[in-house]
Amino acid sequence: MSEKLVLSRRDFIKLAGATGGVVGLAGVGLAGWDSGVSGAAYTGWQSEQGLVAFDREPFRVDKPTYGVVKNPPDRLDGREVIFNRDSALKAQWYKDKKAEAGLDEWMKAYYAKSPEKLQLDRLRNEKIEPERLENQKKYGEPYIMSQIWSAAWSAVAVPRSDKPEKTDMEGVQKPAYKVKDVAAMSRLIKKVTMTFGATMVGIAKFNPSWVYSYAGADGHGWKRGDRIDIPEWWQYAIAFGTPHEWDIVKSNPTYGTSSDAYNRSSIAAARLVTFIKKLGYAAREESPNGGYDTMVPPILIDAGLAEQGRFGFSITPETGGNFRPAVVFTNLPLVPDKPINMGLKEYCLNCKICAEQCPSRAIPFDEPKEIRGVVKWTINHERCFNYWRSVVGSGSCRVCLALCPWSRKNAWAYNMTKSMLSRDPTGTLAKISVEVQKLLYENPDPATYYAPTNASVRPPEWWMKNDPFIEIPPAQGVRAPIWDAVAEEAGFGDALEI
Amino acid sequence: MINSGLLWFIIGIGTTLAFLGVKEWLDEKQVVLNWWQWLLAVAWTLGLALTVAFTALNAAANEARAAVLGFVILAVILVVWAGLGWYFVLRRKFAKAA
Repeated sequence: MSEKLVLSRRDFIKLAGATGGVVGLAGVGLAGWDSGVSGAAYTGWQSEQGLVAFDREPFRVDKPTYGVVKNPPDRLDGREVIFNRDSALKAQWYKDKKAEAGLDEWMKAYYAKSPEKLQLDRLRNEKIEPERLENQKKYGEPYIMSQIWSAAWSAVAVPRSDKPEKTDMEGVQKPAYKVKDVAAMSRLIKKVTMTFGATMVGIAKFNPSWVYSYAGADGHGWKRGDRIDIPEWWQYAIAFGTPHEWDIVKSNPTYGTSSDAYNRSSIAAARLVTFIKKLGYAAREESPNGGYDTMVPPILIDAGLAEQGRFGFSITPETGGNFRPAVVFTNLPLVPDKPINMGLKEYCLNCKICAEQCPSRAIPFDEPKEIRGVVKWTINHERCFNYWRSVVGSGSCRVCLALCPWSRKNAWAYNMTKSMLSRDPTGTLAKISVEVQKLLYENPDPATYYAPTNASVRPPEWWMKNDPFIEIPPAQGVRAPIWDAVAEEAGFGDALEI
Repeated sequence: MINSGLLWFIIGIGTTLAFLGVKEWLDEKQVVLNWWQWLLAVAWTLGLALTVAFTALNAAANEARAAVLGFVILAVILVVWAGLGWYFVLRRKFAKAA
């Protein structure tokens, strides 16, 4: 005879309570886990569903957080930009093997003024790049899948712009539709830019100081060294951005790429340009595909999308530095947004994680300095670029944006931290946050990013690996697709093939 | 998506049942907590939830060190908190009730 199990009301409630406790705790754990792996945590993408990821309104200020000590600031000569300078150096110094005698007057004057830059530029071309080719042969195999993925992003490329009077006017509807309400039009432009793929949008009054004074390279409607005269229809700048793939960012530098967000932003820009032209207004794309006549970060800051970070990029509250921007210049009447101050400058003054972790030591540890009349941080471009060119796999870096505490997924713990420290006028929470970051989150030894270790910030995701997807034939050459165009333009072509 | 309204509904029911169970157990032992003691218990429970969620989030986000270290630090705080609560509040109340 089995005894009848008698459960009192009290015992039942206690048992239910114990079960409830276990279920509740498991549920919280599951929710925590899911917020880490869910696609909804891929910061930036939620904006496509019309959701605001970060409410900027409480942080609007009248003046941007960079300081202007000379008004207007001096314009940057596009020939100084390191990518342009490197192409010119390859063409002038190395292609015909004329060395210094092959340099044009501008290059001679530039290097005479900054001989240390010539030293670093030559180091890159004569030592770092050849060494990288050898390293790529030895260690490049694991990165084949990530390189294939990176190359695929360029399959649909927006054509490069021509001169403004041509490109900006092509396809403009005549007569233009009259804008009834400028504020409403601004809302519309932001909305449609989101639908075209952008995940954050802001509008700035056009500032000619950010446009290059002279064209940096041939092939964008300009000849290298042409003076860039600013057309009168560049009146507003619509600035926007798209995040990098969140699975990839932590596997920088070797497995990473910029192609994904470059292409997404370029295509969004091309669509927005078409939209504006169909309304009857001139529009010009400033994007990775379309080409640049301008510096982009200060426009993002003016438009209230971002603030400048220590590593020179603009940092948005949603994505940190893990995004790529584009800008459209237009004469469509719009209402500019105000800049924001979310305390990022103070945060960066404290943090320095990017500077400590930079493999090339290109990021400054000190305070912002005046450059061309603007007080801001600037990196050592030569050191940065020289490191890119040494990296096996991607041929680029992005360690700074991968390790920036602001570049975190859209998960409750990270959002709560950013939101709280942005609202703390004393800066105490920011200081605590920096210490917690350094304590809890792993920061690899920067030396391990170099060959032969070729470490990445975190191990790559499963879909970035060759196994179990492809078999690699012995001794197959691997090259970094992003640099093919640069090499070909400079006449190196097959010389870079392994 | 796992992290849905239904999940939080289940978490809510589970937590309510857990508190009812604890209340029933305390009633059985004839232990009565006042408002601030209950408040501390609720805060401790929130801390426990935060610890579990933080650990799981960082583990899922490929941040193993943050998951382990975060768990250890938060767990030590919770254990110390629970120990102090037992020593200064519950132990005396249980002794008195007995």
